[in-house]
Amino acid sequence: MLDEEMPALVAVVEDDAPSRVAIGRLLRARGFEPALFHSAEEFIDAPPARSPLCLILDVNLGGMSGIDLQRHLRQRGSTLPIIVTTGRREEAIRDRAEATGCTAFLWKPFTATALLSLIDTIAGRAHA
Amino acid sequence: MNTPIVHVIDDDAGVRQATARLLSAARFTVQTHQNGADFLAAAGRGSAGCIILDVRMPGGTGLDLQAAIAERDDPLPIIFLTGFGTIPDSVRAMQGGAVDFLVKPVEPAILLEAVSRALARDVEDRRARAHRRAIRERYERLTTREREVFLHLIAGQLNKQVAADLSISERTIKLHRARIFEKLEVDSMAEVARLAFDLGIEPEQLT
Repeated sequence: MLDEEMPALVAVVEDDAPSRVAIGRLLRARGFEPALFHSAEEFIDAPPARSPLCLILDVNLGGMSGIDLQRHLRQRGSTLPIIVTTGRREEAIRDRAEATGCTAFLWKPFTATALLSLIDTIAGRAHA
Repeated sequence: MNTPIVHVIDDDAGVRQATARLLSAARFTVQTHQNGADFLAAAGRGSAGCIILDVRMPGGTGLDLQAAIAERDDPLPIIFLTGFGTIPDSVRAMQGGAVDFLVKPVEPAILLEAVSRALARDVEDRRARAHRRAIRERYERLTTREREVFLHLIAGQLNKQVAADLSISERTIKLHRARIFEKLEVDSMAEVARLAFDLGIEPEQLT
């Protein structure tokens, strides 16, 4: 499935450091290369060197929100698969994430299996 | 599985009845409560369902009730009803269980849709909590020493490195590792990594 020489890159924008590290470790254990960002601004200013398989995007980021980053990317024609996550419980957030073009949505705390199976689906599509 | 119950909490008897009638007609099972205290006394813990709650109830407001509900082991999703333009910031800030904010008067179709979503959410929440409890129980089977080894393993260390760090033989580490896999009911390091993620355990705790 994956490129044999280079593991697929998975970008993560998450302001909570422990969560960011935990997601990064999980991705690495699964054979992906995580590219970690602590803010939407950082992702825009210094995007990953090669194009990621997908983006795991938190909503509440302190500065620019995940929803705004997603809108920003979509307005520029990006088709990057985006998995939006949030620890807030409002359904309205899911509605907004879907309206602005997320590929999938996960409530936190999500399970490792939930996240990895979404990424597998995205990887499968990418290679189809 | 127990039938999910939609709890309608409102101090206005007319509103309670009208809401209950609407929900019953849509085949939901409904219980009405005059106030938060009645709900807390009546609603059994562990039962499935959701709550429809007026934020602006006098005495022990909706927000206080939300806090009480959030403290339970199995908080039910809450649909908040608010007056027009009165969604206070405090409501937005409090995330202990609110899933929807609907402005009164609420269209019946919108309320029914919100109830369906809240009940689906409750099923999801319950499944996630059961999963976390189950893996937590498995983790608690580990001895102190096994937990130490576990932390090193999820940090990505090889048996040899763990042995050196803990000053025990590599052979002993292998034995610990086999016991850890057995107790956690896993067959691979990949599964261990997933389990550690779900437990929220940080290898940084090692220092």
